[in-house]
Amino acid sequence: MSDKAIQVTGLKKRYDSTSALSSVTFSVEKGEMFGLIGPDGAGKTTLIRILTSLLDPDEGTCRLLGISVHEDPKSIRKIIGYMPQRFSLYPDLTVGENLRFFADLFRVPRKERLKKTEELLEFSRLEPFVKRRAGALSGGMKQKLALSCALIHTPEILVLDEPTTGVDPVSRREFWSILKSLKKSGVSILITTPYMDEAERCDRIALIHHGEILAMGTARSVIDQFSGSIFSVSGPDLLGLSRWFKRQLRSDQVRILGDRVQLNLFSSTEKNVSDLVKDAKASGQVIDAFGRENPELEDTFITLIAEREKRNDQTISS
Amino acid sequence: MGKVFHLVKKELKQVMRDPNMLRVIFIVPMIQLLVLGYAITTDIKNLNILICDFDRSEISRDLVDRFSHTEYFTLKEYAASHGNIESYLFRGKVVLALVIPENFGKDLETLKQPEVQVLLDGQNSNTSAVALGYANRIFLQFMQDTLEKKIARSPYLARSVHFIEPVTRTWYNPELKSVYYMIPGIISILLTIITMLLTSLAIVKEREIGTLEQLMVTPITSGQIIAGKTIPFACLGFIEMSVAMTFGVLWFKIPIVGSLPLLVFLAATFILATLGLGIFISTLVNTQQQALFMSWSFLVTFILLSGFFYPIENMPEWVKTITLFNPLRYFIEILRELFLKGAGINVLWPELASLLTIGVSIFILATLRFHKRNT
Repeated sequence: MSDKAIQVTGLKKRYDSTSALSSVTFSVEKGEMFGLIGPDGAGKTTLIRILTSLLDPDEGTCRLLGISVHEDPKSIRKIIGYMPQRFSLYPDLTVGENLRFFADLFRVPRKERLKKTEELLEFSRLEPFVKRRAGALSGGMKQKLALSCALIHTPEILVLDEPTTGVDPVSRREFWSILKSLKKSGVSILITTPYMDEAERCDRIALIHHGEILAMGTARSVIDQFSGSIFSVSGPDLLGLSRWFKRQLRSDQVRILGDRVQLNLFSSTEKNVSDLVKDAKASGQVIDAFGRENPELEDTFITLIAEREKRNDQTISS
Repeated sequence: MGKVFHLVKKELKQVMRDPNMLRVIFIVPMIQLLVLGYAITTDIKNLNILICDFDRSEISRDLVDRFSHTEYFTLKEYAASHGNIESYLFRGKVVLALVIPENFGKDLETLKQPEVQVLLDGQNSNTSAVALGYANRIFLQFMQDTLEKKIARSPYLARSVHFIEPVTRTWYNPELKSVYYMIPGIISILLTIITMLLTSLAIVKEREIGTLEQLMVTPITSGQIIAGKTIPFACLGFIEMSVAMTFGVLWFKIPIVGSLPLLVFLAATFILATLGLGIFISTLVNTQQQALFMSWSFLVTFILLSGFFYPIENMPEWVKTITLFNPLRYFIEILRELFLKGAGINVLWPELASLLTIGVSIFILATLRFHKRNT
């Protein structure tokens, strides 16, 4: 059987009147690192909770390595390692005791446990802190401990919900290098993150917004789906420039980025940019430089969201 | 079973690591027993009284002596006029005021019916009722003695008047020490706190810090989690009960007549109910604060409706019906019967049956709710 690591089909979930997931379908290959990218409230955590058997969907199915999450949650729990968004280990137990506790719950045999513990402590560099209480660790160390606990039973699929949110940049980088080596050892990884730079480290990503997948594929291919163009203008009065352009375009198309004002033009609304710049100059704005920029994932995402919302507005008004 | 063992081990480790917890478990009960054992007492003695004697005859002095020479009353004030009485009662300086009118002695001699006035401070109805009881007993004795004196003078009366002499013996607690009555109650309350409150707190704490969710994604069933959460507190409950009982026996010299194995068995059925309630509470709330508040409400209701302070016999019928669902009511009853009378299973089986019914139903209900909420 060439089962996929994760196969999600037509997943739907509503909380009272709001829809958290509307027909989500995607799959993750074995050994792949798949990123779910989306802003807060996009439905990432709901999706993860369904995948880890903590929540039942209204409709749709999830299969992990061919096993239905809904029908056989017990087997699912043996093959996945889950690291929730919030640090959820015992703060009053030490690093070693937390690891030991989860190893015992998964009935990891003694010999394997000792080997695995040593291995995990080494690559997470938590060895010097084995006797420290988990509550007294720094944010980055806590996340590494949580990851180690999720890995103690050598899962085949690792599910991580925003593991690097609120973690300092150095620890973030370290965390990702750990994930990379895990991937090399053959673990399939599903990770959610609100950070676009992290998305580019994944094999494939899905952009999710309001419980809907807007785009999916490699980071490159998602960027290529971007149909608009990005321009930047700079001048002595960036604030004035951005105000002027915001009057001409939609406000979410104009951003100040350090030394320049970035204009994000959808294909549908594209005016001749040079005309726009001319108009600006005519109305007294000083523009020193003006040029095209390469779109990034973030631009694609913002554009996709804006387009989707415009479409929704139209359906409501029509 | 292996997983439950690891859960229990972890739970005990956490409890033992918390210095406050150890204090709560071992030192607080001793202080409570000590303080409550002395403070909660229905033995009312040395009540302050005021006597206002307008008669000042030999007979009235006899009555005054009877009131002042008893351990129940302390003669606080010997007033000369009506005027002071109210202020004494109002300021709570005396609980009872006795007013003997003029010509009291003469009237009694001439076979008129003299009246004495007894004024009571009804603010604490319990105390004043007890004071009135004492006073009535003194009056009764006084009248009997007066009559006997008259009979002695008249052989004719002697033939027609007879008295009943009640011969009382108090069994099981001959000195009527209320501490014997209170300690079992306090022990059962301590046991309730440990098992109900700590269980609910321990579960809600795991929910608060998110570890419950982490546990749910391990191959562990909700039944195992419940076992892992209740067994440690059941053990602590038994330890606490032993500490409290040892203390009660050594310090307050409470006799424990009944069988200890039976006591342990009955306590286990009681704990089943309180642990079940702890789990049940944990499914109703989201934070430890809410769990604390809810456990506290349950506890107070249980205590008030247990017969610990107010006899169940005096409650209105509908309240009596409610007390039937109160596990504490049965357990206090069991402890008292077992400690003082040495009652066996042949006497205690109705309480045992009720406790088992309540315990098993609550436990099942709580487990179902827990399962539903967490999966």
